[in-house]
Amino acid sequence: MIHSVYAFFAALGFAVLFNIPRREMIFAGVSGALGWFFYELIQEGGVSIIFASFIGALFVGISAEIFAKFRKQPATVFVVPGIIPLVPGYGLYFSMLNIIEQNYDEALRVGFETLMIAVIIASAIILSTTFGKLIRKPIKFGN
Amino acid sequence: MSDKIKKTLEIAIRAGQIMLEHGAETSRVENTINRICYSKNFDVEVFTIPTGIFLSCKHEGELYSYVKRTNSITIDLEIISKVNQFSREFVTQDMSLADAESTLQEILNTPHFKPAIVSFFGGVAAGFFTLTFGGNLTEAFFAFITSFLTVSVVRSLHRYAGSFVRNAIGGGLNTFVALILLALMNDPSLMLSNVVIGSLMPLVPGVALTNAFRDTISGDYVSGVSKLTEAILIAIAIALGVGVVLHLKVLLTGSV
Repeated sequence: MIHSVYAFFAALGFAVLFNIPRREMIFAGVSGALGWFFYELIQEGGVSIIFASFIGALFVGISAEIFAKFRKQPATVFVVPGIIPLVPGYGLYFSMLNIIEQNYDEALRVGFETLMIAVIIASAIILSTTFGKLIRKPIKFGN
Repeated sequence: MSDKIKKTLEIAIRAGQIMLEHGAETSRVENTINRICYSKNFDVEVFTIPTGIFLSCKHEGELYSYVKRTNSITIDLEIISKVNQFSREFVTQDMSLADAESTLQEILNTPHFKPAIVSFFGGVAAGFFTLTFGGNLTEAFFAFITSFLTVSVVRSLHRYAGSFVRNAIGGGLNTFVALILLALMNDPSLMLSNVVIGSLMPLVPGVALTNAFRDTISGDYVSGVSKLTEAILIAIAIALGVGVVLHLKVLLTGSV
């Protein structure tokens, strides 16, 4: 729980690094905290880190779409800082460091996990973008 | 007539270029350009990759084309949001072309945070990352200092070095400062990895990697592959910087 508060500030810090509009920063932080909260909750349930990342990113994406609708901003403004606590940048770096140090087994293991986490976060964001299109333009049946 | 179409295409590609250079997805850039041109009833074909925009338009038997090479990609979401807003206003409010040009120029002159404030928040993000990943308060404070210095240096090198060199220097400096701070404290319970894990966060290409797959899943394969290459290269650069400093330490002190 306290980790979500940390994630809030981490996302907020990145909101400044990525220069998102100042009035939207709090919301980006909330997206980040929400994503991390569900990520940890799911992970404590004993499922894989990949599935936990999926659920976390899904909550980031959906909250971002909702903020986007009400704050009249593109959803990216909230998605990019929001997924920061989840994205596996460190894993990619760690994998490369292992290659430099000739630990190829570890490099492959970390590298593959990193790629899979990135793919699953991307899919979650794509899903939530679709959700965002639905809440902006509700489905019309027929003409 | 031909003057109007040239001006419109110029504004469209200018808007697209500004978005692309500030980190927008290629599909967003293509959408914006299409929207601007369709609003003046020009039928355009646009193809965007992360390093350039290709635009062509056939109008009254004449063919117009425009290729724009873009460079220096930083992520600046405020600018993207503003250009997005601009394209909507341009389409709905029948803005004159001269007005549109000055609006775009204004967007580029948007005031930014001072570099010191940006570095400070880079440090804040790093410190809280260390806490999130289970570091203690001292380690978080070290991550803050380390990251503050790294972000300042990497951002001020922007004009002199490409992204590979900048990130290698960033990774090296980061590890160096973290090692010095830990050596000063001389407390064996503090972990180097906890400090480095947080303080490297502003550098590591997590967002680039995720965006690469976002583009790929949406069908922008060219853009996806080039972003993937970018992310892997940045990771190699950071690992190179960190690796050099760690190996130097082994050579100088004889221990890891």
